[in-house]
Amino acid sequence: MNNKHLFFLFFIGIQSIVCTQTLDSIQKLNEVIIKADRLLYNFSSTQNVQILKDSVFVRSKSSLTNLLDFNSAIYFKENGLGMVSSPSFRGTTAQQTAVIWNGININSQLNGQTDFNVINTRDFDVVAIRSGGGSVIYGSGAIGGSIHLNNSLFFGKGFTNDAFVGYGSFNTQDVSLHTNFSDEKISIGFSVAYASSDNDFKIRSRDRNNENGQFYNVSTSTQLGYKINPKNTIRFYNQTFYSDRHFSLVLPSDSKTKYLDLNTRNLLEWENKQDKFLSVLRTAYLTEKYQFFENIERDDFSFGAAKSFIGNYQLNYNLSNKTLITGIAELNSTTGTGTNATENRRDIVAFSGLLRRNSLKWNYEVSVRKETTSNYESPLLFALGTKYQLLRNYAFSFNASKNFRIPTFNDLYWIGSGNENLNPELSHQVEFGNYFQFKNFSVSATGFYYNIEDMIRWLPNSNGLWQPINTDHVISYGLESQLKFYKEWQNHQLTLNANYAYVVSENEATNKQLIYVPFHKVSGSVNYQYKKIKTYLQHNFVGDVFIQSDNNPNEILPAYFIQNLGFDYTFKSNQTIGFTVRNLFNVDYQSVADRFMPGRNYNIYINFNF
Amino acid sequence: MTKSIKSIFYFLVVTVLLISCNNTDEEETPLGDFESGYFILNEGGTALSAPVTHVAEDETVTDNPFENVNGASVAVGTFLQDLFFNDEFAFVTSGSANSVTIFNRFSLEFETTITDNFENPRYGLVYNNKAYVTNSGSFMTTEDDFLTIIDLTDYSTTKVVIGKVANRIEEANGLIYITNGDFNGQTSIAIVNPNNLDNITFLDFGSGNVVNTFEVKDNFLYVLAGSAPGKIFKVNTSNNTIDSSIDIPVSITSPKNLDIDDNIAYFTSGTSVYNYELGSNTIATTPIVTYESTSAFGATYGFAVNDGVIYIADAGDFASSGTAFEYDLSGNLLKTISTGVAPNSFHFNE
Repeated sequence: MNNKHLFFLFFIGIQSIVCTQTLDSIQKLNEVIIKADRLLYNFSSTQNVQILKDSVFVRSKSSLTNLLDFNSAIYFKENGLGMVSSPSFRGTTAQQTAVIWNGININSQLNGQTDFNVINTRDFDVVAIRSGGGSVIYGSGAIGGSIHLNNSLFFGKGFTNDAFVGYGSFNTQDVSLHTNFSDEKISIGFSVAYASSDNDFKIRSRDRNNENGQFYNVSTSTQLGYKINPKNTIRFYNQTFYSDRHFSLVLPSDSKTKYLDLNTRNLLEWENKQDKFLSVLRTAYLTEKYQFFENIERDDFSFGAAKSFIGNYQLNYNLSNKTLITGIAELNSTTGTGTNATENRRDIVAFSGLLRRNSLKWNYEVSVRKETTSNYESPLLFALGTKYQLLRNYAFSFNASKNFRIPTFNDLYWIGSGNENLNPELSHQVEFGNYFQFKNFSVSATGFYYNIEDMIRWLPNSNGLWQPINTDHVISYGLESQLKFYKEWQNHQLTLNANYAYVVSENEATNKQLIYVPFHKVSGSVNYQYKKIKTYLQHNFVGDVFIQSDNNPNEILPAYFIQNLGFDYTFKSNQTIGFTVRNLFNVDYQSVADRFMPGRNYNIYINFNF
Repeated sequence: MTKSIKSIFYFLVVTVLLISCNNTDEEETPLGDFESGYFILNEGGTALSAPVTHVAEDETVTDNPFENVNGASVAVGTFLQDLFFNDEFAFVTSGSANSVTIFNRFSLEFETTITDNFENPRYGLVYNNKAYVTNSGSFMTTEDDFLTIIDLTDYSTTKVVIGKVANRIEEANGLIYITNGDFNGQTSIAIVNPNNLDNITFLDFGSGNVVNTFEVKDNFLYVLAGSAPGKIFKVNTSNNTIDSSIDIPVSITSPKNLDIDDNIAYFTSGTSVYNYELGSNTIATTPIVTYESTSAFGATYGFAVNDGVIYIADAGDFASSGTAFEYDLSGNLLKTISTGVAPNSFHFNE
């Protein structure tokens, strides 16, 4: 990685648009801030990692759905604005995308997925999108890819604060405050974020307003770091997230429902550095709880809850400057309970071994993981990857891995239906990446092929009882591409970003495309800056999706193409005021059939750093 | 001799022609585009897509007649559970929309939507100018299940709590009969007197006899219950006692979908249809129709027998268009129809 490239990346970083991968440089740039999810930066050199932060966050709505929808090739199936939102990454299911909080997998133990509308991005400093398999590092669900929510810990930066206030159509409020103090030994960070909306936008095709769609969420994050001595550091991360959402009605006479989420996450880590060794001992305690009110006029609800204790020990050994060996031992003990399940406990022990060798021209990685649990047979997982800088402007990568998605508590223990004989879903996958880097622009194109077997589906058994079984076999293949362009002249700067995914994801038995997986998805932005004034246009194109598994051509949800136009102005070097018009062309669209999305809407924000 | 047969033949032909002509004359004032044939109800799809399928007598299939006639603004909702008639109207219950939507039964012109006093409505019927509709209420309890009574003179509604699962509904001898649910292991039916709504009584069929479906014939109620062995009880509706019962052979597992056509009772098990003549003492173990299905639970998801034709709906994987079949009583396939998602019942407009 030469200085010119570094310089280029640095500018992209400042512009804070989707920063390109190339892990070495990211590591150098962000050395202070990316400790908790260390493995992401140590073991992703043969895969694509997109980094989102700063102004990309500010210009998005607070939900993780909105941030990724306009800045990545991941497709989102959103049940109306702010409602349940699930991703399809490379044509895989919502349970085949892992969400990682500071290095810890936080997909629900109950249903195996993360609802991307119950993550507020204002809680985080960096969101990274890692394409492709990652089960060796992150465990269950890292098949399509993984989304990384990371908090920063700074040392030696003194007292800093960041306040953000946004207000928009439909009484949408979006507020966050971050405060940090650090000296050379101690780092304290705290943030609080609040988002809410009446969400009562006009549904033009029905001549009424969206009803019962109101929501709010509030969250806090805490990061503490203490350098005991040059060799030992202790860090603590906490997050608490509470969400109260009503679910939008399809017809005004539908029963009004609501859904409450409470998640807490705690991570304590002790890092010890020796000459060539770096060891990290981590303990995490996660809780999740939901309550579903099927009729808000009554007090009764159903609920589910899970608690996980995770102990993790990592030992990193630098065999040479270029070669890193890491061994990991992990224990995960989860207890789940709820209206639909008696209390059950699952213990998993996992061991991983990883080897990486990086040089200027050639990187390679080899890793394996084996889990044991009493609940099911766990396969040996592996990943092999290499990246080679063939020409000055061209590099290619190859990665092959075996990943899984383990059965959830609902799959295993749902009263009367749970199937304790389930096996994990298994994915064998390969990808081949091409990276072109020129003075002002870079292009990457990655072809991928997934063979996913034993997919768990709930089907009626011979007694008519719905039960999960390992049945479906899906072949998913396609192309992911990213383009970035940067040009600067006099007082002008121009940046272009585009993400494109072409995905065929077929049920092997029927050769039909899976429902709610578009063949084409494009997102991107054009950003232009003149001195302190910036303007940007964000795009999101989602192709037609089938809504019936027989691919009935009469039952498709039509493609949509949404634009957001924004301006911001920076004054006193650390205060920014911005204005955004979302859905500029007032497109009447749905992401899920009959789940309406708003037309043109506006918001204004102000961001202070002090 | 031959000549006389010929004469008789000519006579018959002429008569038939004349009768036909008469019929044609009468049909000059049709009641509406949908006055004949039958409707297939579909649970799935989106709020507006193909909620019913209409199959006309001339076999014309219309995918979404409500919307075709009334436009997209009339939405009947999803989880369509039942469609029932009176002389003038067709009534459609939607489990998701908590509503009963009323159409002219012949033209399908929209009449009104009633949304008061419904929560997860199930089945209905019309008796004495009132519609009676069962409701599951909250899914978390069966104690709040209730009956909604719609006064068809002004479409006002009232509620009567049943106290047990309220599911399928029939009228006989001036009384309303309600099954207490096949999905909750309950072995009884509720009996509601429209003239004395406070006094609900229950008729229990005994341990194991979980009530699946029932039918009325000549003031007797035939109740299909249980699984190993299944039984069909005959209830005398003049005194609400069990008159007799007949065992279904044990080899026929999980019987469901009782229907009666022309003094013959029909029911299904898996992908097979069985029958017996009312009054006989035994049920043959050989099916009269068995069809191919790749769907375990979606097989015979809807079933009816009408005028000697067997109607079977197959819900497939519940995420794609279902299929309906017409068979004759000898098991010959007459017709295959592509339906909406999860077809669950047939309703004959006659």
